[in-house]
Amino acid sequence: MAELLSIAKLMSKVPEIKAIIGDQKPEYCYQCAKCTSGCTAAKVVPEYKPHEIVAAVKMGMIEEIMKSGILWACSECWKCSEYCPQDVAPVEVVLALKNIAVKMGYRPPEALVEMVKNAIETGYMQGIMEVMTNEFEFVDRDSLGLPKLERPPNMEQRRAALMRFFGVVMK
Amino acid sequence: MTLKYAWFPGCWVAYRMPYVEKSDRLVMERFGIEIEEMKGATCCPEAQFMEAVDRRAWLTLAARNISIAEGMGRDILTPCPGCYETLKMARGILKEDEEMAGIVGEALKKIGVVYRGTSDTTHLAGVLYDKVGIEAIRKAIVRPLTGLRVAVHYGCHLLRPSKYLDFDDPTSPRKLDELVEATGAVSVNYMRKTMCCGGPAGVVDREIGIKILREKLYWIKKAKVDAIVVACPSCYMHMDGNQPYVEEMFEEKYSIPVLWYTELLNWAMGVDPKDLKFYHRVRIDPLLEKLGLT
Repeated sequence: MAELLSIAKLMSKVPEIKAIIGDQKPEYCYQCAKCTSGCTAAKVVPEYKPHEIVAAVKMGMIEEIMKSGILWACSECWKCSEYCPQDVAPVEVVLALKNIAVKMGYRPPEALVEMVKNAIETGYMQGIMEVMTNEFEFVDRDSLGLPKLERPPNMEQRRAALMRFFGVVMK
Repeated sequence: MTLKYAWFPGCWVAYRMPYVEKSDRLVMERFGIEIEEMKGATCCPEAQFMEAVDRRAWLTLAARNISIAEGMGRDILTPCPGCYETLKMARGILKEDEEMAGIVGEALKKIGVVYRGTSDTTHLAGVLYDKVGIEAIRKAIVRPLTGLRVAVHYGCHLLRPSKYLDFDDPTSPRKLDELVEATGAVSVNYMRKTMCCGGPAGVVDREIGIKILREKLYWIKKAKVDAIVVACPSCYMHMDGNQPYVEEMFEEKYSIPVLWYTELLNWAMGVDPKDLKFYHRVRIDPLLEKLGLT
Protein backbone atom coordinates (compact mmCIF):
# COMPACT_ATOMS: atom_id res chain seq x y z
CA MET A 1 0.00 0.00 0.00
CA ALA A 2 1.20 3.47 -0.84
CA GLU A 3 2.46 5.59 2.04
CA LEU A 4 -0.17 8.08 3.23
CA LEU A 5 0.84 11.72 2.98
CA SER A 6 -0.34 14.12 5.67
CA ILE A 7 0.14 17.89 5.50
CA ALA A 8 2.80 17.51 8.23
CA LYS A 9 4.71 14.96 6.10
CA LEU A 10 4.36 17.20 3.06
CA MET A 11 6.02 20.04 4.92
CA SER A 12 9.16 18.00 5.35
CA LYS A 13 9.02 16.96 1.67
CA VAL A 14 8.40 20.43 0.23
CA PRO A 15 9.67 22.90 2.84
CA GLU A 16 8.21 26.08 1.29
CA ILE A 17 4.69 24.68 1.46
CA LYS A 18 3.55 26.30 4.69
CA ALA A 19 4.25 29.75 3.30
CA ILE A 20 2.55 28.94 0.00
CA ILE A 21 -0.71 27.52 1.33
CA GLY A 22 -1.21 29.76 4.36
CA ASP A 23 -3.22 28.66 7.37
CA GLN A 24 -5.20 25.45 6.75
CA LYS A 25 -7.35 23.69 9.32
CA PRO A 26 -9.05 20.72 7.64
CA GLU A 27 -9.12 18.94 11.03
CA TYR A 28 -11.96 21.27 12.18
CA CYS A 29 -14.32 19.73 9.59
CA TYR A 30 -17.13 17.55 11.04
CA GLN A 31 -18.53 16.49 7.65
CA CYS A 32 -21.83 18.43 7.67
CA ALA A 33 -21.51 18.67 3.85
CA LYS A 34 -22.97 22.18 3.74
CA CYS A 35 -20.13 23.03 1.36
CA THR A 36 -21.13 20.29 -1.08
CA SER A 37 -24.82 21.29 -0.92
CA GLY A 38 -23.95 24.76 -2.24
CA CYS A 39 -21.06 23.74 -4.51
CA THR A 40 -21.26 24.89 -8.15
CA ALA A 41 -19.02 22.11 -9.48
CA ALA A 42 -20.86 19.38 -7.53
CA LYS A 43 -24.09 20.27 -9.38
CA VAL A 44 -22.64 19.07 -12.68
CA VAL A 45 -19.68 16.86 -11.63
CA PRO A 46 -21.27 14.42 -9.15
CA GLU A 47 -17.92 12.88 -8.12
CA TYR A 48 -16.66 16.28 -6.97
CA LYS A 49 -17.58 16.69 -3.28
CA PRO A 50 -15.64 19.28 -1.27
CA HIS A 51 -16.44 17.67 2.11
CA GLU A 52 -15.00 14.37 0.87
CA ILE A 53 -11.83 16.08 -0.32
CA VAL A 54 -11.40 17.60 3.15
CA ALA A 55 -12.04 14.16 4.71
CA ALA A 56 -9.45 12.58 2.43
CA VAL A 57 -6.91 15.25 3.42
CA LYS A 58 -7.56 14.48 7.10
CA MET A 59 -6.88 10.81 6.36
CA GLY A 60 -3.59 11.64 4.64
CA MET A 61 -4.72 10.68 1.15
CA ILE A 62 -3.27 13.79 -0.43
CA GLU A 63 -1.38 12.13 -3.26
CA GLU A 64 -4.43 10.09 -4.27
CA ILE A 65 -6.46 13.31 -4.62
CA MET A 66 -3.75 14.92 -6.71
CA LYS A 67 -3.40 11.93 -8.99
CA SER A 68 -7.16 11.84 -9.64
CA GLY A 69 -7.11 15.36 -11.13
CA ILE A 70 -10.50 16.07 -9.49
CA LEU A 71 -9.15 19.26 -7.87
CA TRP A 72 -9.35 21.13 -11.16
CA ALA A 73 -13.16 20.76 -11.27
CA CYS A 74 -13.47 23.45 -8.56
CA SER A 75 -14.66 26.67 -10.22
CA GLU A 76 -13.48 28.79 -7.28
CA CYS A 77 -16.86 30.42 -6.71
CA TRP A 78 -16.02 30.56 -2.98
CA LYS A 79 -19.56 29.62 -1.90
CA CYS A 80 -18.25 26.88 0.41
CA SER A 81 -16.19 29.45 2.30
CA GLU A 82 -19.37 31.39 3.08
CA TYR A 83 -21.38 28.32 4.13
CA CYS A 84 -18.77 26.47 6.23
CA PRO A 85 -19.73 26.66 9.94
CA GLN A 86 -16.23 25.58 10.98
CA ASP A 87 -14.10 28.12 9.10
CA VAL A 88 -12.47 25.33 7.07
CA ALA A 89 -13.39 26.82 3.68
CA PRO A 90 -12.83 23.76 1.44
CA VAL A 91 -11.90 26.03 -1.49
CA GLU A 92 -8.82 27.10 0.46
CA VAL A 93 -7.87 23.47 1.05
CA VAL A 94 -8.39 22.78 -2.67
CA LEU A 95 -6.31 25.83 -3.64
CA ALA A 96 -3.55 24.68 -1.29
CA LEU A 97 -3.64 21.20 -2.84
CA LYS A 98 -3.48 22.66 -6.36
CA ASN A 99 -0.38 24.64 -5.37
CA ILE A 100 1.22 21.60 -3.74
CA ALA A 101 0.39 19.38 -6.72
CA VAL A 102 2.15 21.80 -9.07
CA LYS A 103 5.21 21.93 -6.78
CA MET A 104 5.30 18.13 -6.74
CA GLY A 105 5.35 18.02 -10.51
CA TYR A 106 1.69 17.32 -11.40
CA ARG A 107 1.03 19.40 -14.51
CA PRO A 108 -2.01 21.70 -14.29
CA PRO A 109 -4.53 21.80 -17.19
CA GLU A 110 -2.91 23.15 -20.37
CA ALA A 111 -5.12 26.26 -20.52
CA LEU A 112 -3.70 27.35 -17.16
CA VAL A 113 -0.10 26.71 -18.18
CA GLU A 114 -0.74 28.81 -21.29
CA MET A 115 -2.10 31.72 -19.23
CA VAL A 116 0.76 31.62 -16.77
CA LYS A 117 3.19 31.70 -19.71
CA ASN A 118 1.34 34.67 -21.25
CA ALA A 119 1.47 36.55 -17.94
CA ILE A 120 5.22 36.02 -17.65
CA GLU A 121 6.03 36.78 -21.30
CA THR A 122 3.68 39.68 -22.04
CA GLY A 123 2.33 40.81 -18.67
CA TYR A 124 -1.21 39.82 -19.71
CA MET A 125 -2.98 36.48 -19.34
CA GLN A 126 -5.33 37.11 -22.23
CA GLY A 127 -4.02 37.90 -25.67
CA ILE A 128 -5.19 40.99 -27.54
CA MET A 129 -8.15 40.05 -29.76
CA GLU A 130 -9.77 41.60 -32.78
CA VAL A 131 -13.14 42.92 -31.62
CA MET A 132 -16.18 43.19 -33.89
CA THR A 133 -19.44 44.95 -33.07
CA ASN A 134 -22.96 43.82 -34.02
CA GLU A 135 -22.74 46.21 -36.98
CA PHE A 136 -19.73 44.20 -38.29
CA GLU A 137 -17.37 47.06 -37.50
CA PHE A 138 -13.88 46.28 -36.15
CA VAL A 139 -13.10 48.33 -33.05
CA ASP A 140 -10.13 48.72 -30.73
CA ARG A 141 -9.12 51.07 -27.91
CA ASP A 142 -7.94 53.67 -30.39
CA SER A 143 -11.09 53.75 -32.54
CA LEU A 144 -13.29 53.90 -29.43
CA GLY A 145 -11.35 56.92 -28.15
CA LEU A 146 -9.84 55.06 -25.19
CA PRO A 147 -6.35 56.03 -24.00
CA LYS A 148 -3.38 53.87 -24.97
CA LEU A 149 -2.15 51.64 -22.16
CA GLU A 150 1.53 51.70 -21.29
CA ARG A 151 3.25 48.31 -21.12
CA PRO A 152 5.25 47.44 -18.00
CA PRO A 153 8.94 48.39 -17.84
CA ASN A 154 11.83 45.96 -17.21
CA MET A 155 10.08 42.83 -18.55
CA GLU A 156 13.36 40.85 -18.48
CA GLN A 157 13.92 41.44 -14.78
CA ARG A 158 10.28 40.71 -14.07
CA ARG A 159 10.52 37.40 -15.87
CA ALA A 160 13.59 36.42 -13.82
CA ALA A 161 11.89 37.39 -10.55
CA LEU A 162 8.85 35.25 -11.44
CA MET A 163 10.58 32.22 -12.91
CA ARG A 164 11.89 31.09 -9.53
CA PHE A 165 8.29 30.39 -8.49
CA PHE A 166 7.47 28.46 -11.66
CA GLY A 167 10.37 26.10 -12.29
CA VAL A 168 8.28 22.93 -12.56
CA VAL A 169 5.29 24.25 -14.49
CA MET A 170 7.21 25.86 -17.28
CA LYS A 171 9.37 22.84 -18.13
CA MET B 1 -16.84 65.61 -3.12
CA THR B 2 -14.48 64.60 -5.88
CA LEU B 3 -14.05 60.96 -6.65
CA LYS B 4 -10.55 60.30 -7.99
CA TYR B 5 -9.21 56.85 -8.70
CA ALA B 6 -6.39 54.97 -10.38
CA TRP B 7 -8.04 53.11 -13.29
CA PHE B 8 -7.38 49.39 -13.67
CA PRO B 9 -9.40 48.02 -16.63
CA GLY B 10 -7.79 44.55 -16.55
CA CYS B 11 -6.93 42.49 -19.66
CA TRP B 12 -10.44 41.38 -20.61
CA VAL B 13 -12.04 44.79 -20.59
CA ALA B 14 -9.00 46.64 -21.97
CA TYR B 15 -8.36 44.43 -24.97
CA ARG B 16 -11.23 42.01 -25.55
CA MET B 17 -14.20 44.16 -24.53
CA PRO B 18 -13.13 47.80 -25.02
CA TYR B 19 -16.82 48.71 -25.52
CA VAL B 20 -17.35 47.90 -21.84
CA GLU B 21 -14.69 50.46 -20.89
CA LYS B 22 -16.29 53.01 -23.22
CA SER B 23 -19.68 52.43 -21.60
CA ASP B 24 -18.24 52.63 -18.07
CA ARG B 25 -16.34 55.81 -18.89
CA LEU B 26 -19.51 57.51 -20.14
CA VAL B 27 -21.18 56.75 -16.81
CA MET B 28 -18.14 57.89 -14.83
CA GLU B 29 -18.03 61.20 -16.74
CA ARG B 30 -21.74 61.67 -16.14
CA PHE B 31 -21.32 61.32 -12.36
CA GLY B 32 -17.99 63.12 -11.94
CA ILE B 33 -15.81 60.11 -11.21
CA GLU B 34 -12.27 61.07 -12.24
CA ILE B 35 -9.86 58.36 -13.32
CA GLU B 36 -6.23 58.20 -14.35
CA GLU B 37 -4.50 55.28 -16.10
CA MET B 38 -2.00 53.17 -14.15
CA LYS B 39 1.22 53.24 -16.18
CA GLY B 40 2.81 49.81 -16.67
CA ALA B 41 0.00 47.83 -15.02
CA THR B 42 -0.26 44.17 -16.02
CA CYS B 43 -2.84 41.41 -15.62
CA CYS B 44 -4.08 41.58 -11.99
CA PRO B 45 -3.44 38.42 -12.22
CA GLU B 46 -6.60 36.33 -12.32
CA ALA B 47 -6.86 34.18 -9.18
CA GLN B 48 -8.55 31.15 -10.80
CA PHE B 49 -5.45 30.59 -12.85
CA MET B 50 -2.48 32.20 -11.13
CA GLU B 51 -3.40 31.64 -7.48
CA ALA B 52 -4.19 28.01 -8.29
CA VAL B 53 -0.75 27.45 -9.81
CA ASP B 54 1.39 29.53 -7.45
CA ARG B 55 0.01 31.68 -4.67
CA ARG B 56 3.31 33.53 -4.18
CA ALA B 57 3.49 34.64 -7.83
CA TRP B 58 -0.19 35.67 -7.72
CA LEU B 59 0.41 37.92 -4.69
CA THR B 60 3.69 39.30 -6.06
CA LEU B 61 2.13 40.42 -9.35
CA ALA B 62 -0.92 41.85 -7.56
CA ALA B 63 1.28 43.78 -5.11
CA ARG B 64 3.27 45.20 -8.02
CA ASN B 65 0.08 46.49 -9.62
CA ILE B 66 -1.12 47.98 -6.32
CA SER B 67 2.24 49.73 -5.88
CA ILE B 68 1.58 51.72 -9.09
CA ALA B 69 -1.58 53.19 -7.54
CA GLU B 70 0.34 53.87 -4.33
CA GLY B 71 2.75 56.00 -6.36
CA MET B 72 -0.25 57.97 -7.64
CA GLY B 73 -1.62 58.40 -4.11
CA ARG B 74 -4.97 56.93 -5.13
CA ASP B 75 -7.23 53.94 -4.51
CA ILE B 76 -7.85 51.60 -7.45
CA LEU B 77 -11.10 51.49 -9.43
CA THR B 78 -11.81 48.55 -11.73
CA PRO B 79 -14.74 47.45 -13.93
CA CYS B 80 -13.81 43.77 -13.43
CA PRO B 81 -14.78 41.61 -10.43
CA GLY B 82 -11.80 39.32 -11.11
CA CYS B 83 -9.37 42.23 -10.76
CA TYR B 84 -11.34 43.52 -7.77
CA GLU B 85 -11.08 40.12 -6.08
CA THR B 86 -7.36 39.71 -6.73
CA LEU B 87 -6.24 43.21 -5.80
CA LYS B 88 -8.42 43.52 -2.72
CA MET B 89 -7.67 40.00 -1.49
CA ALA B 90 -3.94 40.43 -2.05
CA ARG B 91 -3.88 43.54 0.10
CA GLY B 92 -5.85 41.75 2.83
CA ILE B 93 -3.62 38.67 2.77
CA LEU B 94 -0.38 40.67 2.78
CA LYS B 95 -1.63 42.65 5.76
CA GLU B 96 -2.26 39.54 7.88
CA ASP B 97 0.43 37.10 6.66
CA GLU B 98 3.90 38.38 7.55
CA GLU B 99 5.73 35.39 6.13
CA MET B 100 4.06 35.83 2.73
CA ALA B 101 4.61 39.59 2.84
CA GLY B 102 8.31 38.85 3.29
CA ILE B 103 8.43 36.52 0.25
CA VAL B 104 6.57 39.04 -1.90
CA GLY B 105 8.74 41.94 -0.71
CA GLU B 106 11.89 39.97 -1.58
CA ALA B 107 10.66 39.23 -5.14
CA LEU B 108 9.59 42.84 -5.70
CA LYS B 109 12.97 44.13 -4.52
CA LYS B 110 14.55 42.39 -7.54
CA ILE B 111 12.57 44.65 -9.88
CA GLY B 112 13.03 47.75 -7.73
CA VAL B 113 9.44 47.90 -6.46
CA VAL B 114 8.32 48.68 -2.91
CA TYR B 115 4.83 47.64 -1.80
CA ARG B 116 3.26 49.48 1.13
CA GLY B 117 -0.37 48.36 1.06
CA THR B 118 -1.80 51.88 1.15
CA SER B 119 -4.13 51.66 -1.88
CA ASP B 120 -7.49 49.89 -1.60
CA THR B 121 -9.51 48.55 -4.57
CA THR B 122 -13.17 49.09 -5.47
CA HIS B 123 -15.43 47.85 -8.29
CA LEU B 124 -17.22 50.56 -10.25
CA ALA B 125 -20.64 49.22 -9.23
CA GLY B 126 -19.60 49.79 -5.59
CA VAL B 127 -18.66 53.42 -6.25
CA LEU B 128 -21.91 54.01 -8.16
CA TYR B 129 -23.99 52.56 -5.33
CA ASP B 130 -22.07 53.77 -2.26
CA LYS B 131 -20.62 57.11 -3.42
CA VAL B 132 -22.81 58.39 -6.27
CA GLY B 133 -26.00 56.90 -4.82
CA ILE B 134 -29.22 55.51 -6.27
CA GLU B 135 -31.01 58.88 -5.91
CA ALA B 136 -28.50 60.72 -8.12
CA ILE B 137 -28.66 57.95 -10.70
CA ARG B 138 -32.46 57.95 -10.72
CA LYS B 139 -32.41 61.73 -11.32
CA ALA B 140 -30.19 61.21 -14.39
CA ILE B 141 -32.65 58.85 -16.07
CA VAL B 142 -34.36 60.49 -19.06
CA ARG B 143 -35.68 57.35 -20.75
CA PRO B 144 -36.96 54.87 -18.14
CA LEU B 145 -36.79 51.24 -19.28
CA THR B 146 -40.33 50.58 -18.10
CA GLY B 147 -41.58 47.06 -18.66
CA LEU B 148 -38.10 45.52 -18.95
CA ARG B 149 -37.72 42.36 -16.84
CA VAL B 150 -34.14 41.31 -16.12
CA ALA B 151 -32.27 38.60 -14.27
CA VAL B 152 -29.34 40.18 -12.42
CA HIS B 153 -26.30 37.90 -12.25
CA TYR B 154 -23.68 39.09 -9.74
CA GLY B 155 -20.91 36.67 -10.60
CA CYS B 156 -18.81 35.19 -7.82
CA HIS B 157 -15.94 37.55 -7.25
CA LEU B 158 -17.85 40.74 -6.74
CA LEU B 159 -19.14 39.01 -3.58
CA ARG B 160 -16.86 36.26 -2.36
CA PRO B 161 -14.77 35.60 -0.31
CA SER B 162 -16.48 38.07 2.06
CA LYS B 163 -13.55 37.58 4.44
CA TYR B 164 -11.72 40.03 2.15
CA LEU B 165 -14.38 41.59 -0.13
CA ASP B 166 -17.04 44.02 1.05
CA PHE B 167 -19.13 44.93 -2.02
CA ASP B 168 -22.36 43.42 -0.66
CA ASP B 169 -23.83 40.48 1.26
CA PRO B 170 -22.07 37.40 -0.17
CA THR B 171 -25.18 35.23 -0.53
CA SER B 172 -28.12 37.71 -0.64
CA PRO B 173 -26.81 40.79 -2.45
CA ARG B 174 -29.01 43.76 -3.43
CA LYS B 175 -26.80 46.59 -4.73
CA LEU B 176 -26.59 45.58 -8.39
CA ASP B 177 -30.37 44.92 -8.41
CA GLU B 178 -30.99 48.44 -7.12
CA LEU B 179 -28.62 49.99 -9.68
CA VAL B 180 -30.49 48.16 -12.44
CA GLU B 181 -33.90 49.08 -11.02
CA ALA B 182 -32.90 52.76 -10.99
CA THR B 183 -33.34 52.59 -14.79
CA GLY B 184 -37.00 51.64 -14.39
CA ALA B 185 -36.39 47.97 -15.19
CA VAL B 186 -37.57 45.23 -12.85
CA SER B 187 -35.06 42.78 -11.37
CA VAL B 188 -36.77 39.40 -11.17
CA ASN B 189 -35.68 36.91 -8.53
CA TYR B 190 -34.67 33.43 -9.67
CA MET B 191 -33.22 30.17 -8.36
CA ARG B 192 -29.39 29.85 -8.36
CA LYS B 193 -29.06 33.64 -8.48
CA THR B 194 -25.67 33.78 -6.75
CA MET B 195 -24.40 30.61 -8.41
CA CYS B 196 -21.31 30.78 -10.63
CA CYS B 197 -21.92 31.06 -14.42
CA GLY B 198 -19.30 28.39 -15.16
CA GLY B 199 -16.88 30.64 -17.04
CA PRO B 200 -13.68 29.81 -15.14
CA ALA B 201 -14.56 26.11 -14.98
CA GLY B 202 -15.09 26.18 -18.74
CA VAL B 203 -11.53 27.37 -19.32
CA VAL B 204 -10.25 24.19 -17.63
CA ASP B 205 -12.94 21.83 -18.97
CA ARG B 206 -15.29 23.15 -21.61
CA GLU B 207 -18.02 20.60 -20.94
CA ILE B 208 -18.22 21.47 -17.22
CA GLY B 209 -18.46 25.17 -18.09
CA ILE B 210 -21.34 24.56 -20.51
CA LYS B 211 -23.20 22.33 -18.02
CA ILE B 212 -22.95 24.92 -15.25
CA LEU B 213 -24.19 27.62 -17.63
CA ARG B 214 -27.18 25.45 -18.54
CA GLU B 215 -28.05 25.17 -14.84
CA LYS B 216 -28.15 28.99 -14.66
CA LEU B 217 -30.04 29.50 -17.93
CA TYR B 218 -32.62 26.86 -17.02
CA TRP B 219 -33.72 28.82 -13.93
CA ILE B 220 -33.36 32.23 -15.58
CA LYS B 221 -35.69 31.13 -18.39
CA LYS B 222 -38.27 29.99 -15.82
CA ALA B 223 -38.27 33.55 -14.41
CA LYS B 224 -39.52 34.82 -17.80
CA VAL B 225 -37.08 37.70 -18.24
CA ASP B 226 -36.14 39.79 -21.29
CA ALA B 227 -32.42 39.83 -20.50
CA ILE B 228 -29.61 38.91 -18.12
CA VAL B 229 -27.60 41.78 -16.63
CA VAL B 230 -23.99 41.27 -15.55
CA ALA B 231 -21.13 43.30 -14.06
CA CYS B 232 -18.30 40.87 -14.91
CA PRO B 233 -16.50 40.60 -18.28
CA SER B 234 -15.87 36.88 -17.82
CA CYS B 235 -19.57 36.19 -17.05
CA TYR B 236 -20.54 38.36 -20.03
CA MET B 237 -18.34 36.42 -22.44
CA HIS B 238 -19.40 33.03 -21.11
CA MET B 239 -23.15 33.66 -20.71
CA ASP B 240 -23.51 35.47 -24.02
CA GLY B 241 -20.93 33.72 -26.19
CA ASN B 242 -21.58 30.14 -25.06
CA GLN B 243 -25.41 30.12 -25.05
CA PRO B 244 -25.52 28.54 -28.53
CA TYR B 245 -23.37 25.64 -27.26
CA VAL B 246 -25.74 25.06 -24.33
CA GLU B 247 -28.64 25.01 -26.78
CA GLU B 248 -26.78 22.51 -28.93
CA MET B 249 -25.68 20.20 -26.11
CA PHE B 250 -29.05 20.10 -24.35
CA GLU B 251 -31.32 20.63 -27.36
CA GLU B 252 -33.08 23.47 -25.58
CA LYS B 253 -33.85 27.03 -26.68
CA TYR B 254 -32.63 29.99 -24.62
CA SER B 255 -31.43 33.03 -26.66
CA ILE B 256 -31.60 35.34 -23.65
CA PRO B 257 -29.69 38.59 -24.33
CA VAL B 258 -26.84 39.40 -21.93
CA LEU B 259 -26.34 43.08 -21.10
CA TRP B 260 -23.62 45.00 -19.29
CA TYR B 261 -25.08 46.96 -16.35
CA THR B 262 -23.69 50.35 -17.44
CA GLU B 263 -24.94 49.64 -20.96
CA LEU B 264 -28.43 49.57 -19.46
CA LEU B 265 -27.73 52.75 -17.43
CA ASN B 266 -26.52 54.49 -20.59
CA TRP B 267 -29.65 53.51 -22.53
CA ALA B 268 -31.78 54.94 -19.74
CA MET B 269 -29.68 58.11 -19.63
CA GLY B 270 -30.36 58.75 -23.30
CA VAL B 271 -27.33 57.23 -25.07
CA ASP B 272 -28.06 55.59 -28.43
CA PRO B 273 -27.39 51.83 -28.02
CA LYS B 274 -25.61 51.74 -31.39
CA ASP B 275 -23.09 54.38 -30.25
CA LEU B 276 -21.89 52.06 -27.48
CA LYS B 277 -20.50 49.61 -30.10
CA PHE B 278 -21.20 46.47 -28.08
CA TYR B 279 -20.98 42.97 -29.43
CA HIS B 280 -23.81 40.66 -28.37
CA ARG B 281 -23.71 37.11 -29.66
CA VAL B 282 -27.35 36.72 -28.61
CA ARG B 283 -28.95 39.46 -30.69
CA ILE B 284 -30.52 42.32 -28.77
CA ASP B 285 -32.52 43.84 -31.68
CA PRO B 286 -35.88 42.38 -30.55
CA LEU B 287 -35.25 43.79 -27.08
CA LEU B 288 -34.38 47.25 -28.40
CA GLU B 289 -37.50 47.16 -30.53
CA LYS B 290 -39.64 46.31 -27.51
CA LEU B 291 -38.11 49.26 -25.65
CA GLY B 292 -38.52 51.58 -28.63
CA LEU B 293 -34.77 52.17 -28.84
CA THR B 294 -34.13 51.25 -32.48
